[in-house]
Amino acid sequence: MDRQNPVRRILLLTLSLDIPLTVLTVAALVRLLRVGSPDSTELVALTGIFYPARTVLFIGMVARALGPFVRWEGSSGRHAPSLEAAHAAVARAPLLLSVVFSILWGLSIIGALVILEVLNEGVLIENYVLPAVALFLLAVLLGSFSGAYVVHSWTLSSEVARVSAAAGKRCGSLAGSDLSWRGRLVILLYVAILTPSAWIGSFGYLAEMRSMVRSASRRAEAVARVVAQQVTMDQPGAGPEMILRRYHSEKVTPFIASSDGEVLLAATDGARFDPRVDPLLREKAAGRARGSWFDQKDLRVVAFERTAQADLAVVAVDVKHPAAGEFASASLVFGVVVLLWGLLVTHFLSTQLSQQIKRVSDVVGAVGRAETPRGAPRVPLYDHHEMGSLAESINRMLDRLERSEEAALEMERFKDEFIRMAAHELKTPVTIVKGYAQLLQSPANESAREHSVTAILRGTERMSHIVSELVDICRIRAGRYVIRSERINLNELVSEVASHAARQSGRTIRMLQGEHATVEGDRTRLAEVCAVIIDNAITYSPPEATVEVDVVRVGEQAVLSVEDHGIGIPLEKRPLILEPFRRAHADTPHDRGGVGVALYLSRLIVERHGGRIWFESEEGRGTKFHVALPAAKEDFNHANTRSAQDNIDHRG
Amino acid sequence: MPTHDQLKTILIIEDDLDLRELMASLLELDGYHVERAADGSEGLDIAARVLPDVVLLDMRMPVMDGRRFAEAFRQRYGRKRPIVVVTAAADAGERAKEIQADAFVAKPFDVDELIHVVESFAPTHRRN
Repeated sequence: MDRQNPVRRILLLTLSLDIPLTVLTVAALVRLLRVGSPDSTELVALTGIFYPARTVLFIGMVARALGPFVRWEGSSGRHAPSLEAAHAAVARAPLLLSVVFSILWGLSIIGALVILEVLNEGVLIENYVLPAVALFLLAVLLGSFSGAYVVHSWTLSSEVARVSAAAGKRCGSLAGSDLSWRGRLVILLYVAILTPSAWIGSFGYLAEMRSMVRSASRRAEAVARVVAQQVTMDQPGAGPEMILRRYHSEKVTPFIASSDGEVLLAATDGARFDPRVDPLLREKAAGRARGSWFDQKDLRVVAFERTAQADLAVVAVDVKHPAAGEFASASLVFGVVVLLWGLLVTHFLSTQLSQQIKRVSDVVGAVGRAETPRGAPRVPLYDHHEMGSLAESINRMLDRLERSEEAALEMERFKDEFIRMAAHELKTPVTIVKGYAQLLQSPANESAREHSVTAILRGTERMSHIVSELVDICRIRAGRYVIRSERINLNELVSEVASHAARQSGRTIRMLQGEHATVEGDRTRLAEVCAVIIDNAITYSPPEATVEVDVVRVGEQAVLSVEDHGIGIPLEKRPLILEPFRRAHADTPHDRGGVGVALYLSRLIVERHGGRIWFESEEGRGTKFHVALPAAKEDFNHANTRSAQDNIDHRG
Repeated sequence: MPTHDQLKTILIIEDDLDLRELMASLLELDGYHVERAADGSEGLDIAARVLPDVVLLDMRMPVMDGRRFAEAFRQRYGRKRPIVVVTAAADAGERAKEIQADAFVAKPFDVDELIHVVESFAPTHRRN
């Protein structure tokens, strides 16, 4: 069976819920075809014929209630179902279903009874039809309420589980679970007790009444036959009075009437009935040797047997048997109690579900109305089944929304900071270029011409450096940063950069005797990284202090370390050092200026190479930066073999 | 032409060499005597030797920044000698007010703007 189709699932569920009725209907039809029409079989068979119509209608109703979910399914999961619509559907559906259910069943039972009335020529009489129909309608009304709740809860819970699973897919949670064991137990009990009891409570009553009328008729006919025979035989010492008295009892009232319907002789002692025979006797007995009918008015069966003397031996049997009444009321009470119980439990189950949907839809609604998902309420969790998983999924989705909102804000902050820093850092070189250019305009300043031009060039150099740094950041953040891959001798690269930095700064940079390391990567970019951390070490340490550079192998990694004996990084600034636009010494006397992106850019470059950058620092003592990069494959053979080279000092 | 001693003295405290030289050139052309310092403490040393008529002060500098220089300078020489803050900070005015500077010039500045501010505090006789 296709689990994805809710309508099919409802069909199966409805059939399984009404298994007793289905079996009963089939059995009754078979019996009706084979045996004729004994007792209540026709009734069950006839009403059972209405069953498919009811099921079709029921499926239509539930499918409609599940519309929001079904539509969602149809649109390939692109739009989430409207939870508010779902809630409305849940709240409305049981009532609508029950009303339609009851009306249809009521019509079916009345229809069946009318057909029976026609078929049986009035054997089934209105005295019993009215209470039976009333009882049946009540049973159906209550039963269908609970049935509707059950079916609705079950189907809805699976739908909810699916929605939850789908929501989970988007927000990374696990799929939602189906109906809880409590829910399943309720439904099982419903199937096991509720449906048969509804049938016993209503049809049982009617069927019992009808079977009593039949047995009373048979009994009355038998007694009438015997009385008629004995009266005809005219036994000695046993006159008609004696015979009548012999068969007279609390329930049985024998008497003899003429064919005109006039009572000739009756056993009246203690009899409930007036011995007057219904005028119908003449009509019923006309042209017939024997027969019986049910007297609707007095609730008795009247049987007659025509004798040779043309008189009728008539027996009236009271069918208001106390046992029948007890059975009827007991089954009525039982049926009503069970139905009420089922109604309460299933109502509770369904209401819980509906309330959870409401909670979810409240939260989702609140989020929808709010400008930002930040600080949105969460769906309270009471249960980990059914709606519980949906609530969890929704909560997780909200968490994620919040995080992405945070990320968007972070990006916004990054951009603001970016623009601010770029503008700030460009101000000084722009001032220089502008000022010297204005100075050049002045003819009195001919002597300073050469100096001015040099200063302008240096200013533009600074500007272009800042601009290229910013462009790099933009590019690397947008993922358009091209990293070429080639084999690089890390020791050589570091040595080149260090000697260059030493020349530029006039400082001493000591290359410790390292281990040979080859890495794969972008030579230019890695040289930049190397230059940045060496420059930092130079900038933030006293002019006389030496900067030490080392390359070692740690496992499958090549690690470059640059150590200075400078001012160190304040503890509170450390977590921010590798973030953009952060400078440890910004706005302090140690401030050397800069956009504050060099280390951030280095971090991005190293990370793009599959490596890692970190540092150790002690305030006032110095900082040691490390860059770990994956070593190139063939290098593993040389692992831990120190090269024989001595420490090399690059001096400026 | 006034002699060296008669020229007004401007103390420029700015860590950026090019910018410092630019301002110095401009002011010298305009007929001022210029003293140069790369940070606050250097500035204080010079002020002890030659009390400037106007101080042009950068805020962000190594060793001793503009704020600390302004505090020390005020303490020693009171408010008689004006301090003009030259800064790239977006809130230049606020910064200037914080350290009780007499004026500020926001980078990037116009040549005329700088001269105009300095002249307003230290009028020079030599004007072409």
